[in-house]
Amino acid sequence: MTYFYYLLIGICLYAILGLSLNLALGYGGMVSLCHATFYGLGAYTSSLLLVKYHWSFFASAAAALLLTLAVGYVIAITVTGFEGDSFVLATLAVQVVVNSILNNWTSVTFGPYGISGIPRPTILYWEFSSIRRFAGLTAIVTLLVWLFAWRIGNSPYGRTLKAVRDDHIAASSLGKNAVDFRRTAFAVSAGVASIAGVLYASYASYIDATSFDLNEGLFILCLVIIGGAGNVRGPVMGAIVLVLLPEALRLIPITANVTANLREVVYGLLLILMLRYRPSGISGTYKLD
Amino acid sequence: MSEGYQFLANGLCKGAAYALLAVGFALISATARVFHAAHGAIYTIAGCAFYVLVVPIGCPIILAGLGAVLVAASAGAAMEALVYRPLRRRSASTLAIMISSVALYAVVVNSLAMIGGNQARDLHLSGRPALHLGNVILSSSQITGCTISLVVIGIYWLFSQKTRLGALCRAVADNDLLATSLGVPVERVRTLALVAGSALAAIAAIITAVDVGVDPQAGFQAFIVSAVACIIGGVQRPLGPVGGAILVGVLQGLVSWRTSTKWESAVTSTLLIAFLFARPQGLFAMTRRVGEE
Repeated sequence: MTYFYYLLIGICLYAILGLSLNLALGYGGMVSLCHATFYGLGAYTSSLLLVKYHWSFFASAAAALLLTLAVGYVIAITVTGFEGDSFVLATLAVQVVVNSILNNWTSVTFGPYGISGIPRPTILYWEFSSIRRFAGLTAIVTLLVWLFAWRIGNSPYGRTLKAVRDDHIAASSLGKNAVDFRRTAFAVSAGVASIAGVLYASYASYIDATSFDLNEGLFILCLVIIGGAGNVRGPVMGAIVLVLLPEALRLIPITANVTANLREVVYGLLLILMLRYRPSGISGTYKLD
Repeated sequence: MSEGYQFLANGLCKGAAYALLAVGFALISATARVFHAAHGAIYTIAGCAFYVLVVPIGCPIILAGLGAVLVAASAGAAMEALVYRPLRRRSASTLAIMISSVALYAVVVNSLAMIGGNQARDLHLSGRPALHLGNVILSSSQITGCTISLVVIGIYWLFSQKTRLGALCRAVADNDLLATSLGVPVERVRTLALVAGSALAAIAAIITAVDVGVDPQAGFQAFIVSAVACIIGGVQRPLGPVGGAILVGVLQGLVSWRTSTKWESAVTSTLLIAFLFARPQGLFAMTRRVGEE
């Protein structure tokens, strides 16, 4: 039964991450390779507040969300002015810079040693230390994020954002400030990714910068491209498929230390094949072609 | 301050290897119209091939070098045939091609790591007499590397500016539709660009392998450095990326001297964002009419 909860938590965390990137990519048309850093910022902020300063879980989570929103907005201001290729390259550069700061600023983030002993959440008087309760909490949070993403997609803001994605010149001609929409979408998307980070930190009880590197960012991109972008079904489908797939790989008799590399190879191949043959993903409405 | 000169010298030598990488990247990027993130994968392939040829098989260095260049060039041609050309035929956007390239990088590097392991390896080839210039020490592998880089870039410049094939490459880079209508075999020229660019990356990998060894994870940094060098130096002049690469090498030397090597990649990437923001055409760009961009 613990195995089921472990899979459920994995699917929920990546569903949240997929939904966050969908806000930027599926609704906003911005291919971001730096969402792993927002995931990491959320995890690091809440972990440091919980472990070093003994804040309560709710306060650390809120602080992590606000900090990542702010950082996301600053990055958005720098980066949303670029077109297409330059945008992706800039987000790649952001990924390298932020990951490097998390890994090397040892006095603040404990650098390569990582942060250990991160406690499970205690909200009001409920303790979520057992995996069953934690899975329940994660599932509820995921549902809330899903509702939020769904509401954004169907709101006037969401419709205008999709219009900016499809043809930003036409949208500007109708009086909509395209750059403004992109910036807010990117910042909100960063904030949502940090929620996953907060949950992951408490789940794993140890984090370091290697969990938030480019491979992770590529995986989040895989979730959205393989599952489908532009709606709230796609990223969730992507999370289900891409979390359950390595479980099937366990049946192949290979040594343990190549499983991480093999997973990356499979995800990369899936991504290339999807972009070649089915750019809309499993159930997406926005094609990255 | 004297240690500063040592870091500067090291940076210049690194810049020589980066120059090869950057020129190859610019050639591929302009001619084949792909943002070749897998350039880093080619770098890794060449390094691993060179290592395998030298250590377990025991080839002499020059033969191993040629072998590694051949392997890398074939890999480049394979990438063009298997990934880029089908996407281009489908009229995929540059964005889709770029993401495919990044995914290709992940596939190649992780496949190599599955076979050979993730750790860096040294080739134990150094240890020959070094050159002393005042307080600065340059190892023989550094000097050889700089010389090779200079010669190869010179050959590339001659090829690009003085030969017919080079002119064809520049024509395809400039306007491939017009080139097709004039009978230029565009697909073959693109494959040639990928082969030549990959060969240049391979030479850079070999120079670095002889100096510091082979690291399967270094391919990503190689790609970032190529991209930064091209953006800083600009791709309008044929040797613009060379200038950019030397600047990046020197900057990395400066960062290592003042802080620590661990901040090199972060500073390089910040420079990338700064240049994309402030001067995307590069430092050595020529002024052009608005319609020519």
